[in-house]
Amino acid sequence: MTATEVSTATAVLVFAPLFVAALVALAADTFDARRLAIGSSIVALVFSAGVGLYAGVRFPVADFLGVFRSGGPFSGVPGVIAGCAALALAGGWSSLSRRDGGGTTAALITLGAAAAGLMAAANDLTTLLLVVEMSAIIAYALVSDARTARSDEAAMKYFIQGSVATGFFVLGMAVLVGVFAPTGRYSQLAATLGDGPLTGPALVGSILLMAALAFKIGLAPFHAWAPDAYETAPVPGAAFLAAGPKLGALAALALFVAVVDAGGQSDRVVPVVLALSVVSVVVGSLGALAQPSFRRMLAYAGVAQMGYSLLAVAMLDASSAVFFVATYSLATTGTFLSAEAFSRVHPQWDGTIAGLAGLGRKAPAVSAGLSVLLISLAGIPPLLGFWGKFQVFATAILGSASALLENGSSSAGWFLAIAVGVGLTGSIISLGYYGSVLRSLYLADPVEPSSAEDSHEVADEGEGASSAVVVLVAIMAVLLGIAPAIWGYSFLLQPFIAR
Amino acid sequence: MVQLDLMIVVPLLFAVACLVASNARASLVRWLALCAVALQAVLLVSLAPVGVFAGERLSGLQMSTGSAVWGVATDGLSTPLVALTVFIGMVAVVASWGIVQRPAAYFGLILAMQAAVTGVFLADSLVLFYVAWECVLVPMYFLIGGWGSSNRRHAATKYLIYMFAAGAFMLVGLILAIIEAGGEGSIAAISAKAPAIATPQLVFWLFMIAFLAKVPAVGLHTWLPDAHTEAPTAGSILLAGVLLKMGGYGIMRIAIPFAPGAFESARFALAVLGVVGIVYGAAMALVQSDLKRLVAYSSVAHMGFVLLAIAVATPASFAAALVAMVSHGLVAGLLFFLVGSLYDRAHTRELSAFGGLGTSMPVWSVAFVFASLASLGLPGLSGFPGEFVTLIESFRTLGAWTAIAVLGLVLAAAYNLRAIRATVQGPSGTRGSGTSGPGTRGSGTSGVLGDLTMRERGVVAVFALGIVVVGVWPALITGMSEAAVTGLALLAGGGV
Repeated sequence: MTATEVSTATAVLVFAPLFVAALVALAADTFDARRLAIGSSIVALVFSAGVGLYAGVRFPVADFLGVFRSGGPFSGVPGVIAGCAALALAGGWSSLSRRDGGGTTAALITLGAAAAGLMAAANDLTTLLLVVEMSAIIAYALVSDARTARSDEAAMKYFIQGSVATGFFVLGMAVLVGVFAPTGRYSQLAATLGDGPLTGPALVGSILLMAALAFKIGLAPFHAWAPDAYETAPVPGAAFLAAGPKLGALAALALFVAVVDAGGQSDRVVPVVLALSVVSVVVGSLGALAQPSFRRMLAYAGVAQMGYSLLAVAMLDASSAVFFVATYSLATTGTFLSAEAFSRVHPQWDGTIAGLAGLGRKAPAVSAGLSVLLISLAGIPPLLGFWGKFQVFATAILGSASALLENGSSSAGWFLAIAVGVGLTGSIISLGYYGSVLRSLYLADPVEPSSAEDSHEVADEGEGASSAVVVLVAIMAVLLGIAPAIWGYSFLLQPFIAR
Repeated sequence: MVQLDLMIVVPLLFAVACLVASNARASLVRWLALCAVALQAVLLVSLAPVGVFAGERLSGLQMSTGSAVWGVATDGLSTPLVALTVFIGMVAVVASWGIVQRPAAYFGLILAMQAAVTGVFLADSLVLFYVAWECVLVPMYFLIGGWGSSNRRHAATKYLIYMFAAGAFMLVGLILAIIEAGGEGSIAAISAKAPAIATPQLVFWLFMIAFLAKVPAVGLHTWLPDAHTEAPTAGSILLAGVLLKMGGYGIMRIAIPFAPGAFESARFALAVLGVVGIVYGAAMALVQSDLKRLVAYSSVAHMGFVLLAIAVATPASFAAALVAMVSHGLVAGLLFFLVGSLYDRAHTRELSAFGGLGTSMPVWSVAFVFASLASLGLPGLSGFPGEFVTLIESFRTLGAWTAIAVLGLVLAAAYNLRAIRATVQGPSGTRGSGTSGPGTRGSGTSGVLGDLTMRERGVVAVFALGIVVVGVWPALITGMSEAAVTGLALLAGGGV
């Protein structure tokens, strides 16, 4: 087989099952066959994840349909996204299979995984716009899926802000396509823009496009939709939204920055990325510290985490950035699912962090799993999240050290060093908000010992899919965290390196 | 030598086993924990034929992948501290024998920490060193937070954030060191290539912030009194016994070899920090009303001697630093154990609540007097050789001003004797008669304060044996470390 044939076959195997499964799920849902709908979606997602990761490790990058790429990170990232979506659906099995329209939710998540994966694989601005919009519409639907007044409001806010972001995207694209790259292809863009510093319309167009992607990623100051959306969406949807589209859009942003800065000499785009990073880390960290609600805290924490990943984006090291966000996505999927597990064990839980008091003993498995995931997110070794952070900071420190050592006191080097400092400070602060959950779970006294009796009965019935998936994800975080001891940490980067 | 790798892996596996067995009886879990540490000891002793106790450099398994993070080795610098870790770990398990509250989780955490601390002392890969260093934090956080005394949540959170923040500096330092040394991952390889490190001052101080916070040096010590005081007994024993040693070890293993020039220019500052620590720690210990806090502050003073010894940078002073670290591990471990067992009985640690324990708890009292004498540096016990050599060497090489540290010794005598007087001696009226003032909970239980049990006496005897052996025969440690400290002193260029 030629490279193109391999590439096409891989892409078909990664994405086609998702579209088919989404259709099957929609059809099944009309007959109220919700388990069939969810089950087929999970099977397709797992298959797609397997093929994607395999292709990411084994196959070289090649074009597919002219507007996408596959192989290397362009298969690896969709694979990770599909895997996270599969976990989100599996964790939501109990709630979705009981709820009217659960099959449609499954279809939406499956399609959303395809759209997010295609964002990473897009090789063309027009295509990118199409898949970003597809992903956005699915996201609006998933947020309003709870069908409460609050979730409608959150979805409406999200939709309006999203429309503005789309406006940015179209405007930026109009400039870039109209003036510099009539075909919209990345290669053409790189050829016309990549050589010198960006100026005038090229700079404006690039920044507009980056702003639109920053909205999709949930970077400050474009993050306002995230806390409401993550808090009100049903848990499986929120778990997926917090992981998959973020990873896809971040991959798209990393690629875009690398394209417009192909020569690595633009000192215009990198400062913008670093500024986004600093603002995101500061807003996310301080915001997360202030949140009493578990899911809102996670939303702000996600803003800060995306800020760290931008350090690698600024160094034009897309592999490290994407790897870090992949570790984040995996852990975050599990963290959100724990919210569902807790509300099953303890139906009176009001969604606050303080309300988790004493659950460490009532739901030991979920609590232990969640603790592992939060510690991983905080970046404490030897868990998976540490290697992601290590990779990102190593890249950024290498960059700033070489900039400062070679050119004495280059302002770019200092700016990078400051961004690294802010990032590290943010990751220390993260212990404060992630730690507050651990404190509540294990160290606080239970709020209402009297209701222990009746909740125990619920616990027996409720400890189901979501708990199992949280524990599964935690085990993955531990095993993947230990793996570098034997195979080196480049082992974890394999699916994200372009060959 | 696969034994070295197993010394880290075995406690980890047993920690998992403890958690899995969480529904089993408590006795099973504590035997599992004891087995794990005993196996560690067996593994260490099994290396004796290849010269581990003669200070030989031994390496663990070599991973086939070049970039593997795993890589362990030991030499004359590591071995004494590894042995101390195994010893303290075993004692800590026995000291926690009576834990009734969630024993599975408790012993699991202790074993996880044991594995991590052993990993710090054995790591040859710099990244593994950092990983193990940070792995210590989470189990300690849960030990303090879950089993500590009244102010435990505050102390646990403070400890975690303080240490993680200090560790972040080290993370930057280690990334810089790896990059500037051309991508080498092993501590030995980076040390060999140290001249290639382009920013030695920066790398040195980034590492030193983490190490000084752990030692702790004055100024970065504020986490210590809270953590030591609030931790459960075994937690305090491990904290004082081995965790503080990670700092001193890190300076000798990493900071000096990576940046000898920067160390040379920092020696004076480190010596000042050490001397201030000695006097400050002792002075603070003198005014504490809480017995456990008193012991905690005495740790600041003793670790000040270690810092001073390292700053002197002669072969003898490096050896003295090692002896002082091992000695402090034993003495502070014993003191925390005794304070813990007293607290278990009286439910208070206020010095004013005690008195006359010499009659009601004679064995405890003898042990406490013994430990206090070791702490104040009585010749013949382990506290003496390390600190004495440190003083001589610092006087010889750094100048007469280091004699200020002698003030610390005087204060050490004062606070130790004050503690003895307040607990062992004095009118037994405050406690013994049962008519002490209102508000002291000890008064109600004073009549039934039992002396140490056989298990506790065993623990004390083992500690005491260690203290006497190190005191009488410090060559046990200095012989092991001779080659390593000579090389280090040549590198550091001090003490001529």
